Amino acid sequence: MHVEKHKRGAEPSLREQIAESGETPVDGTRTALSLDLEDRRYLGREFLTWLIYHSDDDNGGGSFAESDLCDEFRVVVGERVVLKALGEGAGEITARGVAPAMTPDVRYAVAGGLTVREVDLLFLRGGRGRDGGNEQIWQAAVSAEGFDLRRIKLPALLSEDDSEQLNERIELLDQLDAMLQAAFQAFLQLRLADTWRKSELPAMRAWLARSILEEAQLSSLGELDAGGETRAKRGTAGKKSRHREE
Amino acid sequence: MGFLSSSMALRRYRVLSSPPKDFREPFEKAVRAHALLPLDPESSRAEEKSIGWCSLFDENDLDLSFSKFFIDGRILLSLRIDVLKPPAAEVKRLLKLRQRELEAQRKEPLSAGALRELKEMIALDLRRRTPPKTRTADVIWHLDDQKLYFSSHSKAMNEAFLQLFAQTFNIAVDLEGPGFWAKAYADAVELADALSRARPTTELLGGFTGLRPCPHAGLGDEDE
Repeated sequence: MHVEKHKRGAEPSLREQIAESGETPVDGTRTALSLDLEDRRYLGREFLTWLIYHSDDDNGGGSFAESDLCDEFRVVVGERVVLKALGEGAGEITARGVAPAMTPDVRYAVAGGLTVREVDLLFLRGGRGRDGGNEQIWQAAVSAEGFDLRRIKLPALLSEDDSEQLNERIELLDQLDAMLQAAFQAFLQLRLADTWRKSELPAMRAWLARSILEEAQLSSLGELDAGGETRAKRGTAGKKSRHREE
Repeated sequence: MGFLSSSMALRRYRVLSSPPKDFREPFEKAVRAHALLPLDPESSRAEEKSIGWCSLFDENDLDLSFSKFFIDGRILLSLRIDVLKPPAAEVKRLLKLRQRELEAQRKEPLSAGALRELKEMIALDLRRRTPPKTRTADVIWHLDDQKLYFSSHSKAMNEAFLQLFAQTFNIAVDLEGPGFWAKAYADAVELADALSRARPTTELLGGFTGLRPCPHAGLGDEDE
């Protein structure tokens, strides 16, 4: 995060020079916005940001029902979240550690218009795996742009034969991709319906508010959740409001 | 980070047309024709880079028969890029050393032309002794699904891949990301109109006003 400061007597900044010259400055944010619309890449950012909300235990616990694409599964946010505002030079935050999505810092950033650009995710499936043992876990860092995947780790392989292992790896990769696509489709189902504006966004707002506003402010806001009750979380949420420059 | 590694990277491409009906022979011929040609360190040619296919299982296996790369309805290949370039710093160091020796012997400075020739000789000699740097990235092409996984996000590798794939198979590919998935889903469930009307969510662009200061509040409002 940077804060620009202009000291008396120092050379004017580029922005100031452009303003003095009478030239029309290029608004990086507006340019990024128009590029965003061209290939709908904003949907990738909105999806990952919504996923952080949806993975909270109070909002669905990251569960996704069985679909044409795959069996039911759960998504857990991992130990790294990168958030950024739109436009070149915009502030960026990388939150690392145990459950960074649960921290007021990340929610404060989301409340300020930063969206998730990359996030470490765990995809969990099956209480009992194919071998009758533990559930299967995939890990990947998912990028909002293009849904590129990095640092992919697959569940343990069951095959012993080399050629069978390759088939199994490809199959597991396909399943990971299918789960990501299924989660995205679940998001789209909400996003493209009236429920997005009418209920999902207000619920996200309430979820953010619970993390970053004082209890007194919460109670003064009145209607905050679907049930009409005002709640404040203890512990990491409900802390004093923060004022940050970005 | 290929697909046989414990930690992988993946980028998705949509293959924009199906292979021809009898693709076995033409594909085998094309892949063989575009297999990597190893660089010859002894060659005096300036060629420093070679790009081509190799086996996904063994980067040194350049003998690509159909059964080696077509497995269970998928095409499995690796893109290999070899670069043979003597380290510039080492060329510079040896040039300075040799220049000093020669000028001490001749008791006069070397001309610009002589320096150039000396540099070329040193570079050629180093080239013979420097092993090429090899990079690979894996390709898994699901023929029936028209989907392709590529195991690198590097700009250079992706550009090389796109060019080599087009030259080999004469089929176009396009990145497959959220925009493509959204369109495919919307078309399937008859939400195409809703998708075409959709615009970035104001709150996720400019912030949730009332919760904290939002420097970009109002961004995207004019589109809603």
